[in-house]
Amino acid sequence: MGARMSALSELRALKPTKAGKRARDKSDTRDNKAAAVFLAPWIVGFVAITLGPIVASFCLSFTNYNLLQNPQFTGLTNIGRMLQDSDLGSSLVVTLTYVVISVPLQLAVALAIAVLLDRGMRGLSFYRSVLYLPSLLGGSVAIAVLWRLVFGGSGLLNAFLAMFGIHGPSWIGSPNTALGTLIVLHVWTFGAPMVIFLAGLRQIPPEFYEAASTDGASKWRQFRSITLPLLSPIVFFNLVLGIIGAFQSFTQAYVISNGSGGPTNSTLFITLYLYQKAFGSLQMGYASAIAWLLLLIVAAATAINFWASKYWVFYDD
Amino acid sequence: MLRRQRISSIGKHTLLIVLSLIMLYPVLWMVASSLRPDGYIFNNPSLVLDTFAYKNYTNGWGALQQPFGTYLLNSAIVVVGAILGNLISCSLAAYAFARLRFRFKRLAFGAMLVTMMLPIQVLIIPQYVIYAQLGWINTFLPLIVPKFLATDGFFIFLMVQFIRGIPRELDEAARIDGAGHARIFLQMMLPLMKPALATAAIFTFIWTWNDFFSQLIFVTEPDKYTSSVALRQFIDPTGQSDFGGLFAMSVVTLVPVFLAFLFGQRFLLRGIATSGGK
Amino acid sequence: MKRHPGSRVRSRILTAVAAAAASVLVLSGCAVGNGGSSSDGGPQLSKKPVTISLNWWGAGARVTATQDAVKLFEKAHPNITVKLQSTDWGSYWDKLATTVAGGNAPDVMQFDQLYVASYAQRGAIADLSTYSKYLDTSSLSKNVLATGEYDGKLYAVPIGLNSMGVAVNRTILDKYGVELPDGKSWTWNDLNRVATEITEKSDGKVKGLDPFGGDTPSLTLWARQHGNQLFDQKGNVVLKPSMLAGYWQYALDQIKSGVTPSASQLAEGATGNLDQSDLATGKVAMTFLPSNLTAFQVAAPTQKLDMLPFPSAADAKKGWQYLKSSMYWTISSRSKHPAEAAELVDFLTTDPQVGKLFGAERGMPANPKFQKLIAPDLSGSDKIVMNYIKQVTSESGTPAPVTPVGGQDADTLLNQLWQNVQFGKTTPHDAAVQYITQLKKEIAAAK
Repeated sequence: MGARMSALSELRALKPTKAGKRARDKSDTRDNKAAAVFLAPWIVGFVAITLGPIVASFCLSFTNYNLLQNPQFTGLTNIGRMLQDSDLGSSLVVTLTYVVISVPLQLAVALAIAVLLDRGMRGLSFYRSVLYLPSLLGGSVAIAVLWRLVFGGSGLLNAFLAMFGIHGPSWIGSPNTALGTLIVLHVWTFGAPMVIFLAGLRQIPPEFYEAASTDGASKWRQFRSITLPLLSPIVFFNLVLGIIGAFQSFTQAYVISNGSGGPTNSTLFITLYLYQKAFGSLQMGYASAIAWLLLLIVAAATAINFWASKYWVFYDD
Repeated sequence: MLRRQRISSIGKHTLLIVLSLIMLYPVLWMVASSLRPDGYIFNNPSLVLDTFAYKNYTNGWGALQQPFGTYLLNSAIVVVGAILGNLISCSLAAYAFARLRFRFKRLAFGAMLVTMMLPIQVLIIPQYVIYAQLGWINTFLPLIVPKFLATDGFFIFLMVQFIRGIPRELDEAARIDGAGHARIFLQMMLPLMKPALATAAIFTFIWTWNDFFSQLIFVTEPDKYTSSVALRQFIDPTGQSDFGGLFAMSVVTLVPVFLAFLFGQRFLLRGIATSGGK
Repeated sequence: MKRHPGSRVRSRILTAVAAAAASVLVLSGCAVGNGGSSSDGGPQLSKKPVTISLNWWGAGARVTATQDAVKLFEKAHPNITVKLQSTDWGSYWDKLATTVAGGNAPDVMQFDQLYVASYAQRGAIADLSTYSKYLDTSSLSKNVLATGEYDGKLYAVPIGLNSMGVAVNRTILDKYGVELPDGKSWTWNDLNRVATEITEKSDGKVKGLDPFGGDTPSLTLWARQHGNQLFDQKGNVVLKPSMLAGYWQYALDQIKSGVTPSASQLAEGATGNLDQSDLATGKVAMTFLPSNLTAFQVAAPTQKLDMLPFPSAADAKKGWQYLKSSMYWTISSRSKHPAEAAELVDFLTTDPQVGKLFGAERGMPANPKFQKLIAPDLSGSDKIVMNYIKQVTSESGTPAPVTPVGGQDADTLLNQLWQNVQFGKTTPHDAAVQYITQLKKEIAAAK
């Protein structure tokens, strides 16, 4: 995770400066041959598995293609269809709701717990491990299946509520709460960002806090004025990557709704809808168009994040 | 002052213990339910076991067309292939990005970073078509071969960061001794990279073992299903369910992840928290 | 020397990208699985060892029956090995679509009526008349065979027949003293009466029934009772919106009056398992079933289940009943061993041993010889189903037309909109109009 974090800062740094362009030296190419050898697998992979497919899927977006017959060029029909597709509209609403709620919520919980876990606290590594474990399990089919059984009509949650005389509904069967169970699942995996925040917190010199308390600042004030600003780059990168990841969420929605995205499309993530169109209805052209729509949305969200970062992210470099 | 601290410390610990319990409860309930006979699983929130219904494990093992071990083996094959592939190809690429100077380095590095953020859905359809043309559908090749082609940018980046922490003086010393890049890489760099390699191996293990989407799409024959896809088969509206067996096999599929966590914690926690730095 | 990091470098990169994309496009531009298909002259049985694959959906008893039947086939044909694959209904069709497209479809595939026309039109399943040398379908009646035809040619051999009816839990009804109407038919009012009684007498512990609403077979029967139908012989959608709205309104009224589980319980149950189903667990006393009673009986061994016909309106048009093919065997058009595949299908549909093994589990056998064969030995739920089918047969009119090309999502779409109606997101009338419009669009697009 931390690797991804500085990946983004590297990306920022890659923007070539004018001086950089001029300063390109002959010595910058002296390892060309060696590089070709070391990078050969990566080059093949990049072209065949990433670049080629991305361009191909762009072109397929303008066709009708059912895999059994050759693709037929249909121009902008798919785009017109997307504009009228109410299921696609539902899936966009569902996906956006999921991303907008679950990612900040998960990060907030991760940050709160990280702050709670003082440095040098007894049992710190125990708590850290225990709270981190769910994030390793969270992506698995087993946990998604478990979630169905926890939030089902006679599941674990309702069994608990029954002890207090509350008769709970089927949480995964009600359109109003089905998405909520997926959000809860995402928040359940707060352990990974929590570990990153812990590492970041550790880098804040304790002298800052000491000076602040001597000045009479409350814990909350210290958090707002010291912790948050200094952690903001880490929060930012977790936010960006969390959002990118959340948009691609598939397994949990697929298992919990048994592939239907229901009830009444309330768990129809755009990835699930895409899967239904591509591998269920064999409408590969339309599915490619939807995939590109997803890509553009993710790119736009990332760009907005970067743009907004200058208002709240504080770099000390 | 001390008393206030002690109270707040007790409060903190209580809160954390309660939170840990809540977080782990679903998993503990799953393990407990796997040892309960079918009729006693639902509407039963407790973790207390009256009996040990080991039968759930034997039933669940044989519930699908193949003994569940087949699916575990399939997952294991894919995972081992993925780990090997990642370790080899990503370390090679990382060395190039970290230590070599070559034309288009910036461009290539930027491209690699961007691929880390691409949704897989936008690639999967043409990938499927390519693999179908090659006749690779329904084999494990689409799951393993890309790993040998350094398509997991995350690990390349992880290793680049790590290599950057290794002083260049060591490289210089080796070069003075007459070593070329190959020798430097194989005999000096790789041994020094062991922690990064371990981290990459463990993350690959966990992510591949848990993977579902690509395994679902590329492997179509039930006998070749991996454990993730096979587990999903338990939820079948036209068949009989065996919830005890379902829980049991769920526990079984999570055990390797749990073991990786136990033994690899060090690498996992360090890998995600500190390999970046700013 | 000054470097111009401009056009030359950039154009080189662009050419590389273009080349990569072009090669991928060429690959994806080809229809996948477009290998050499039919050979000249009919297929011949090979003398060498051959392996073919067979897939089906349905677990439990069906698996053992199929395995045993295949073992018998392998004994009779020592050089043929059959690889078996079964999956659940949910993923069956996704998998089929991709394996067919990926060029590695199983040789023999179990099929459903919804998909026959679509797959036949795409050329994914084989015209079975080319294998008449090995596949003998003469025992089946013309009417029954017609349900497996597309464009006048036979593409799918019907395995069994069924008809949507109502499964009732006699044990629970007896326990609460609820009586079923006498005789062989009952009305929609009768159904409501029984449902209300059981709900009241059990204090809500047992609900009356799981309502219909999301499957085209029951919709077709409802429509036929009122002189309408879903498709006509030419494959057009002729269902009237008022018909569909009435169908949904009836079920919606049942839900509102509390004789059914709640909408969210129904939604969860729709994605659950057989022995967790409401009927098997005693949550409801009745449910609509396409006569696969045995599977439910096995899942609920302590309860006595019975089968009643689909209720009828008091003024229902005569001959609204009909027998539907429950499932079919098809052969992949790209099978590498079509002759052996045809032999297998022939064995499964004509060999008496298979008739005994399959019994009534896949529906009442389509082959009349099988029907006669198993009749004396049937017991329990199989016998109930047999008698039920006999009754339906005696009342049947002309069979309903098969789902046309492009209509394979008819059930999914119906269920989706039915859920919207249940949760109050749309009215039955609006949803009905939406369904008919969209179904018409999909069928038109496939032409």
